[in-house]
Amino acid sequence: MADLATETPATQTMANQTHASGTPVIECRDLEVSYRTRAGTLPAVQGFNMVLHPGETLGLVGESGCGKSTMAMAIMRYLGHNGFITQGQILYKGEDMAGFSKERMRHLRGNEIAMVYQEPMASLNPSMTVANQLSEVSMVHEGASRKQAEEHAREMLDAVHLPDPSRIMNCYPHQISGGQQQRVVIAMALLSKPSLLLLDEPTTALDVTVEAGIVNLIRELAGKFGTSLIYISHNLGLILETCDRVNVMYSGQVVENGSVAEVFRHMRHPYTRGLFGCIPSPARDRMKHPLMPIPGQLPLPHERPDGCFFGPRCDHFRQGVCDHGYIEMEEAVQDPPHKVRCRRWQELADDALEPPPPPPPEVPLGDTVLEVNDLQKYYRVTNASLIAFLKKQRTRWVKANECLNMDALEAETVAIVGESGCGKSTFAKVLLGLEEGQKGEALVMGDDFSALTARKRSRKQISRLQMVFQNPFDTLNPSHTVGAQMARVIRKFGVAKGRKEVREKVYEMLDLVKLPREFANRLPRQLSGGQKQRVGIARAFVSEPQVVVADEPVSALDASVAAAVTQLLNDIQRRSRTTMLLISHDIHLVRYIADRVVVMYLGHIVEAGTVDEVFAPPYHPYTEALLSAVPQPDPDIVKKAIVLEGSPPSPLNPPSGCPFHTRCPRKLGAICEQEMPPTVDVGGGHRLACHIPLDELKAQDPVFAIPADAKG
Amino acid sequence: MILLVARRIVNMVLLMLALSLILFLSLELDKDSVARSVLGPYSNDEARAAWLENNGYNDPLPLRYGRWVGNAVQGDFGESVIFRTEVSEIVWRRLKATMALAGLVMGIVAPLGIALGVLAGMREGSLRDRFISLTSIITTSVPEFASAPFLLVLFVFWLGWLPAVSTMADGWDWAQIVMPVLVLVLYDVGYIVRITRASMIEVMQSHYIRTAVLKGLRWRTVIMRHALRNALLTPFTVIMLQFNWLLSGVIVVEYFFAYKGFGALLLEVALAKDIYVIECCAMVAVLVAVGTQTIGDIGYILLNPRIRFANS
Amino acid sequence: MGFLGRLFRAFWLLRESPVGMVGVCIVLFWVICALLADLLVALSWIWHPLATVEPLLTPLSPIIIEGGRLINEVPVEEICALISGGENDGMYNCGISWLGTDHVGRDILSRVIFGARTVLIFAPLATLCAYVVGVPMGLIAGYRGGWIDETLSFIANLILSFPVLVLYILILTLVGTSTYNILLAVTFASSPAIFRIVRGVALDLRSREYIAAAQTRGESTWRILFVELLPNARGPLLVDAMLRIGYTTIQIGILGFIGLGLPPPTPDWGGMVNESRQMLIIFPHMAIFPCIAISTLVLGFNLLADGMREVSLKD
Repeated sequence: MADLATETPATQTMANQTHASGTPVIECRDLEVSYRTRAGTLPAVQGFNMVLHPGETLGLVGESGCGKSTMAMAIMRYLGHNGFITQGQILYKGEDMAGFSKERMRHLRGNEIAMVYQEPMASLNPSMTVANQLSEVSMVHEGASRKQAEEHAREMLDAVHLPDPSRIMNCYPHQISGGQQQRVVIAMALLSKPSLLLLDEPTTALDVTVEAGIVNLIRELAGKFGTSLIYISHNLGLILETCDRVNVMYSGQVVENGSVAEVFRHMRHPYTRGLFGCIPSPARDRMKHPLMPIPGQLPLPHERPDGCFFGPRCDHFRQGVCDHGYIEMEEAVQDPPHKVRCRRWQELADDALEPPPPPPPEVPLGDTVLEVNDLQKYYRVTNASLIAFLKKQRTRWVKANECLNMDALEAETVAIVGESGCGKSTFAKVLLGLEEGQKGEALVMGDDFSALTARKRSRKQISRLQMVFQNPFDTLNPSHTVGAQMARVIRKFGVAKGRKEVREKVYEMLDLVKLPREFANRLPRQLSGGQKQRVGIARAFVSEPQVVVADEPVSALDASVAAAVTQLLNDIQRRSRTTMLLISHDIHLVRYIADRVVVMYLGHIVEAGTVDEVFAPPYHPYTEALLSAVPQPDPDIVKKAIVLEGSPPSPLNPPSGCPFHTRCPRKLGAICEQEMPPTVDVGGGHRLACHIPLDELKAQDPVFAIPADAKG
Repeated sequence: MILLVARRIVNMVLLMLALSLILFLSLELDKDSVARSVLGPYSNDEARAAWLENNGYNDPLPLRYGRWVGNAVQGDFGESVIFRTEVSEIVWRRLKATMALAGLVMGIVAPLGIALGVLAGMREGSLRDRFISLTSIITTSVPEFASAPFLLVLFVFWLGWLPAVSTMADGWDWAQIVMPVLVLVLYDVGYIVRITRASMIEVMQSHYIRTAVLKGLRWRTVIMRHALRNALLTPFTVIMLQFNWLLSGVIVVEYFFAYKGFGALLLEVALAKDIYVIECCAMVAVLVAVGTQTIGDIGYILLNPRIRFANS
Repeated sequence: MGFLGRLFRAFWLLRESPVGMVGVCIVLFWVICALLADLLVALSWIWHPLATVEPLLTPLSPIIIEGGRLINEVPVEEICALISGGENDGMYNCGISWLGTDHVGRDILSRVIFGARTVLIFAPLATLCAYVVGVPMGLIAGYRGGWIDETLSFIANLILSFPVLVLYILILTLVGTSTYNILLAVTFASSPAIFRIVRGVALDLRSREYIAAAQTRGESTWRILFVELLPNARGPLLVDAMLRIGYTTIQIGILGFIGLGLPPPTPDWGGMVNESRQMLIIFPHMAIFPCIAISTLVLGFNLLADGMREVSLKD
């Protein structure tokens, strides 16, 4: 079959040469992209310069709203009806793309420039089979026959390591898992061997262990096909793992760029530094280097200040220096090039960083507040298919929680970690009384809450246990003001009575979560995600509960905001000596705030212990994989690469024996498939559930090897 | 999936049974009114009592209902008082005329509405979209009984192109059917346009359309292959529901143009309280409505791969 | 900000939508007509059984009558000018019949204006009744689910299985036509549709975290339904209400048109069209003006709904 793209010599040969020579695949010169909105024409990206040579991998990193996705769409010339390139140019292999005809653009898209999207499920057409969606690429761009195209597609599915490509070809997108869908999208992008591949947050919607597989695949394929990549992500760790060079973006501008190794080791811009400071890292001592949030929030395009856009949030802001004019990129290092958009970068050498604040005093823990014994929760689902009907299997059980055992002390933070579907949120729902547990008990201050739905609890019981919800856009009722919603809780729990007192209490709570008092009169949509989450925290602590369950309280927030919210939550919890159950998928974040960690997989607790115990050997193989899967933005860390195959099994039909045996890289054999491993106390309350002999587990190396000279 | 389809059909049968019970109870619970309706308002008490006894109306209610349903299923609804013939015969004759009218209307409305809706929804906010949307709002704002006089004055009295009534006294006449069809099409097309447009807009904003465009497909391919199939799922069920609506319009139009159809019959017998014909007409109307809706639901199941190949 | 405040805000936002503004203007025009009907008609003229009028005047004809009593029992002398001399000597000139009169001599303009009052009382009232029935049921069915939902949905399906007009005809032949019964029939026929909309919204919103928050707070079902859920459904409901008032206007018109409408003395646009059916060839004005009236009013509501939808999407 004719492979037009591979026959062009450029991609193949250039990949092996040095990056600096030859025509760049894509070049942006002083690019400005704007959107026409009701508030006027607003620039989403300004003064963007970039050169990408064949075979090179460039990362665009920044928080949401910084303009990184806009860049990808600008290159694709797909900005919607209100987006325009208002200044500058984009050169594709030396030619200005502004001059390209519609036909030329069409030929370019999907053929020479391809894209992988954030949400694989939404990016695939729900009413077409995978085969049809893949084969049209070759048919359109290479004039292949349907048969040839399908053959080619099958080969490509094989190349992205999908098991049983022939079966997947005949599937509709909803019939395959998220990780498989993303592999299909990647296969689709690579079908015509493009010279440039744009990846827009390709793994954000996936679980960490699945993400690790996709990242491996991307690295492998980029090398194999010699494709240049632009990798867009908010995750610094992913950029480190995939890219040669990086552009750090903030509010529509690149604030720092250079080779990944250089930028990640010697970051110059205060924003880049801030970004690193608020990401949990296994290399840093959590007591000496707590998470350092960046104050404030990203300015909206029409609120950008004069001078440095980061100025209002910057610790090193100087009046008269940073607050006027257009700030140019300055060269910090010549070779390899490292540029930074800051007027004071020279004064801010590595060691000019302010010393971290003193660690918070240790809080003595109290008595047991929460005790969970053998808690079990199954959901009943009705299967509508005829086969199920005939087999009399119409009702099946989603085994969300099996035999959970744990406890928590006063003022303690216990984290529950696991991937989506592991049953951690179900556990929270049972505690909260949104669901009823089937077996076992959940004692809060001695009262069994497991079979007590919220409706059946007394007001006092309710006020003992409160929740911080996950989704900031969902946690507040959009129809009522912040003040009214908080006042309702205050009245409901009888914390204060009378109009004036209630208002005072609302203000007091707003002060507590560091929000201005005017917010009482605002509607939720006038607040940013982080602010809404603060209101959610205030609402949870109003009734002075003994236990607060926080279900992924920061997972939907940007890193800089997340760090601030996490810290706030932690502060309030310690001060009020509340027990907190922190539910999270981010095992590294948990290390910073939790005292103890519980790792869950498919409804079972596989490991539990103090933070130090869980983060060091002996590990449960799943914990080990989880620790390894999270990408780390620290070039000095050497970690064991453990990539799990496939995705977690459905809790509808869990495997027999050890729940993890289907993906376990350390599987022993038949015993894992047949017998549920017993939970063993390794010592000091550190519990593990694994068939592997303890001595062998103890002999494991740590997941992270941190060089002695690394910061920490 | 088969179970889903079977469930729809069972649901339809249940619905029909419940509806027949309601109809039966509301019309025949009061025996005397039935007798009065059949024997006339000036019949004497003895005659009515005798008639009721002879026709089994003194049997217990469940028995009467069972018999009634049994007969109804076989198409036996009794004899009409005002037409003095078998109810099923007169209803069937009128129904054929109405089916011709409704078939013509649907044959025009469905393709026209979908085409206009797709054209409008393809590029939201474009001039074409605005024009089609506004026009469809205007046509749906003019009820049949208002557009009929307008069009009559325009085409019949002013231009003199068409006959004023559609009695079809001398057999089928294409010229006579134009006005009723036109009136119904104008009123009904707007709704389908709006539904299709909304569905199309939603699909065009979806990520998979972006994927299709960025694959380098031609615009036409994007629309025909990727957008249409997904965008037409909703309108399909709506078109099926439209039969229900159409029947209301048909009554008005048939009345206005003196078209000898089912709708005019229903109105006629309702005003004359010809109880057996009312029962039959109501059952037929409901059967059409429930039947088309069931077809719509089943079609949706068959067309939508997400339901067709639902994973457990 | 209370509920009314937010309702007002929904209309206030409409100023951003030109289409919506046109709708507002049309509806306002008819509302003013309905409110000031007595005043407007005093300037014009209305038929009274005691007045002897030449029937079927074409638009713009002068009204000349011999005597009698006019609107609200007012003697003809008080409103009309006595003509002296000429062929109409001794008769009264009551001004011009702008839109002509019908076959029994009733002034069409007056009837159209009073018809606006009828329809603008009945259509919103019927819609309101349907909402009062449909909304709580929809909320409870969507929020609770289970057998409550299945039962209510089945009943709604039963009613929706009837073509609307067939349902009206059946109900009205069973219970007879009266103002009250028409209101009842419309409520009965529209509430299932509202039920479905509200149920859908409630079903969508019930898994939101703020609802979970209210549940874990131990709020009563009543409060969750009406304080937490309902305000968030106001967008689609407001749009639907506008559409529905328009649609109900048509329904009431159709009922009048097929002779099942409001009892005779009430001026009713549908009824006016019906009465003119036989005379359409000679006197089309009798039908055309009420037709224009009903079409513009419905158009007004439809544009209003469209504008609201557009604005709510932007908001």
